[in-house]
Amino acid sequence: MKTLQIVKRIVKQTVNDRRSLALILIVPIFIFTLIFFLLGDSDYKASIVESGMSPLLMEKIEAQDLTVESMSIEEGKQAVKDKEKDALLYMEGSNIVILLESNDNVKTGIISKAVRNAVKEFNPSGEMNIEFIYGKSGANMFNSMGYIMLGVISFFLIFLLAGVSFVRERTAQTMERLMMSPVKRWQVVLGYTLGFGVFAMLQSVILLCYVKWVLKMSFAGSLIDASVIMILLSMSAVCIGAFCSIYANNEFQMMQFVPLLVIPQIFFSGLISLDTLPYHLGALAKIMPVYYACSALNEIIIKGQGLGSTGTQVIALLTFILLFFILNIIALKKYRKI
Amino acid sequence: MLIEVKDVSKAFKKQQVLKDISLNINENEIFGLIGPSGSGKTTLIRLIIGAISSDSGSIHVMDYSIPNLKALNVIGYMPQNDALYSDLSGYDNLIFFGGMYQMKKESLKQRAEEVLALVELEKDAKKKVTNYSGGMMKRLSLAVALLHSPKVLILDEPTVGIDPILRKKIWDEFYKLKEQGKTIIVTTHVMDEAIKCDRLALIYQGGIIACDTVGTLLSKTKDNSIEELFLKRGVKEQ
Repeated sequence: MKTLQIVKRIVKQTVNDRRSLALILIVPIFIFTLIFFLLGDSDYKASIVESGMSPLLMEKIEAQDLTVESMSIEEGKQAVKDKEKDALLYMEGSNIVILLESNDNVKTGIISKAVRNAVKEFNPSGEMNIEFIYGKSGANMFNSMGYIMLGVISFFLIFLLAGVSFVRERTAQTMERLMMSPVKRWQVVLGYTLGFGVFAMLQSVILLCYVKWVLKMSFAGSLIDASVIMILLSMSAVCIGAFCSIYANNEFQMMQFVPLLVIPQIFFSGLISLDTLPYHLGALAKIMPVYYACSALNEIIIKGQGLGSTGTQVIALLTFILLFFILNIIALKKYRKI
Repeated sequence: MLIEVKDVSKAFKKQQVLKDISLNINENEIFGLIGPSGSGKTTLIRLIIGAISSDSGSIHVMDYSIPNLKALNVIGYMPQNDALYSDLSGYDNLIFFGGMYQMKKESLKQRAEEVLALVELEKDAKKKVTNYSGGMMKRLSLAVALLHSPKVLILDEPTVGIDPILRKKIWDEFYKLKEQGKTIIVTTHVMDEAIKCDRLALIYQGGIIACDTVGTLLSKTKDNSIEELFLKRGVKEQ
């Protein structure tokens, strides 16, 4: 009952504080719209040069809204280097080589897709190499970026909101006053977790619906499964944010946790392949909630799996929540011994 | 005897804040804890409520051995800061804290109106606390402490930064509460406020240097000022 009162109060407070409300509901939508334009399918008309390719194939490529010109390999390379053209196509033995200036995700995506589509009809088993004048061929971040940002942004914003609210409670001494009423410590922590959980839930669902239906992000799995993961992640953000606030004396000190706790999680969220990291650094991911959430979102959104195949991740997230929930209850002893 | 503090000591890390404090506070009196800042007043108050536990000694409030969760039902506490939720209205603050004392919805509403009238905030009850003046916040903070009709009121520097007119109003309120049978503990470092209490404990460097009725204490001084008692002690130590 007292827990419910605390939940109600937090909801009321947050609704009354327009800025916080905007931070959790409008800012993520704004960021995702930006990401959509930065990484999404653009209407860009790529221009390519070919050298010694089959004219039939080139016709098929041209039909996909690309401009095609013929040059010698040397001229073509120079044109790509000078950024006059986006890519050069030539044969190397039986393989088609696509040469680009550098790894630009959008251009690489558009051109390789067009070539792949065209080749499919002639020679389904044909090899295709993508090469770059500058930089190495890398994994295409195009598809992976979306779901990773879902996890990262949601964690970051909720972490900040919960942490700062807790710091405010301490500096305003409302926490001290609250603890001088006969409320139990677990009731306070549960009230807070659920109170911010309401907004975490709202944010997750609104954001997922937005990326699925408005931005039309490819979404293989179910929206509900993805919501469950997002909600678990933001609940862990609430608990961890509250815990960090113990070590922050003001709002700015809360911000100081961001480079320490949030930014490393971005690197370990799946943006960079973890197997290739030296000194077993990849193992660090095992202590990061964002890593678990993002790999679960990968299963659901990209691979189209159900919640069933994300058991490990769900258990890991629940463990984070429970662990920090208990730590928070213990931490409240600072205000009252019993 | 309503509150009994017996041989209580408290140290934070290695710094001794209170040493061997013993105090008895009677029912139905206004008891003042007076001393310079840093003397240990707030620590003593926090010990009496049970926010922190003592290193040695015992504390009893009514029949409860402190710390005790149930004892918090009979204590009303007003911290030094106003400790209010600034994004909520004054009324919502009261409703929330009332909920923490498990007050029933209807009686809570009625009681909230009562305490708001008491501190003359009826008209501003629906305003957000952010828009309150310093004095209004202080009064609302007092209203929160009074809300659950506690037997014991513990007020940490209740009139700091308050203009003389409001200060007088608040003290009139304390006398009224005393008449209703409440016991009030007030900390202060303002000497002319101390003489408004029934009894005083003078705290200096973590110890009680005197504890008596205001009249008796004043009779021990030449120029009728409590300050003299502190100054004497300070000179002796040097």
